[in-house]
Amino acid sequence: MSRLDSDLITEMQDALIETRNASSMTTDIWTLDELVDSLNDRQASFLRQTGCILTRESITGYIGVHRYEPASNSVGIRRLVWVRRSDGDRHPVHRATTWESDNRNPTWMRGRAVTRPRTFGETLTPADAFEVFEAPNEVGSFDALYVGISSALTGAGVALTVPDDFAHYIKWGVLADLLLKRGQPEDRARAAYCEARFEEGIELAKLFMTNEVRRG
Amino acid sequence: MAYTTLTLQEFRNEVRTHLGQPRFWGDAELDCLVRETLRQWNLLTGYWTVRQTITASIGEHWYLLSGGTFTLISRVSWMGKALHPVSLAERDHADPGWDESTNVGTPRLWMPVALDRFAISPAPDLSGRPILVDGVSATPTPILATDTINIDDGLVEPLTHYTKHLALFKVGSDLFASTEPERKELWEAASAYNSRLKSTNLYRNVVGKTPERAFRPDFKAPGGTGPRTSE
Repeated sequence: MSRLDSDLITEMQDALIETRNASSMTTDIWTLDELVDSLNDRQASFLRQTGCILTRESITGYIGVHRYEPASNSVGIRRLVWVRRSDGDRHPVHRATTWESDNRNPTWMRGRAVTRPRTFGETLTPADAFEVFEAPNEVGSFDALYVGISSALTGAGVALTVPDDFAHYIKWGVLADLLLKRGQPEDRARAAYCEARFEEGIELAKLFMTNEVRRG
Repeated sequence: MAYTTLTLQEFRNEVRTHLGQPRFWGDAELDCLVRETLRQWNLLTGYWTVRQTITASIGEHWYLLSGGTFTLISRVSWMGKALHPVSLAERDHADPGWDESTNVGTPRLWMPVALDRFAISPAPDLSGRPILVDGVSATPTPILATDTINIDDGLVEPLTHYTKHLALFKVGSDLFASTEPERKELWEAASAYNSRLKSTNLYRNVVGKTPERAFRPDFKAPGGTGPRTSE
């Protein structure tokens, strides 16, 4: 996407009556690091909740191996399919939780490999990995569709992953965080407005994804 | 509806006349807000559209559009025939192996996967044929003061009012709160271009009840539980 994190930082500096400055904030009310941290959080949150930009990747699956990691930084798997190498058959792998798997089969982690993976869950550490609760007993691959973030935002002109037309909603999300900071900058009324705008962006993107708000 | 062409500078000047205190906002700042206004308008209405032709490959179900061109894919057609839209989840449940490479034929269905990605089923059995994709384009944003904005005549007011609403955010206080009707004005204007917008909860959250909805009885559950009864 063509919009840069530095563009949003400039717009936020305008909205907060700060002087436009790419390397620091003029007043000491907020720091540039706070803006950048919040930008990363809000962008990840927006992408995870809407799934508006997805990465598709084939990940090699090995006999007896439970845990796999996508190449790009993943913040949520949307669809996983097991592809058997021998005949190319494709089988959906359904989402489950570790709690469900632990109660269904307490020895799943050391259990023998089964014909094909049937369920998967996302791991807490590392955060961008997933594990299948039934390790494959033959070589194949996982066709994964996931929310991937191309690169972390630094404030130095990194392109956003969010589509250009939705980028201003990230700005509103960051402003909501900044205006809730305790002390002098706290402005609950405007923070509530900003949070509502961020939520509006998420709802609008979800409607777009389901094609429910097509021009009609 | 009559069509008008404004330059970015003319649009900006129009906003300034609404703002009253022109020196509190710089040109570059207002330009950013004008671009945000146009993006918001495009999101609500699908005002700017785009058509792209991509080349089909034998056995390929998944297609990615060139980055940043589309904001929404609304229609996919194969050899002059519109494909029927279904969701990816529906397709996965109906036929779990639908995207196997052997599942080829004449495409009948398309599935939105992401804003810039879609899938078709079955995969084409012919290579090199065009797949025609229609959708909402990324908003054409003016950069230079002389760049033009093409909009319907009647839109200048709601769009400049909305830009004023955005500009007054930094002032805050009651002055900003008093411009909330100007945000609603944009959504109401958008609903004339996109009738589906009016049926969304999002629209009702921003604009409030539509006149038709105001006549419906307001059902309330006594004590918050039990059957719902009309008062």
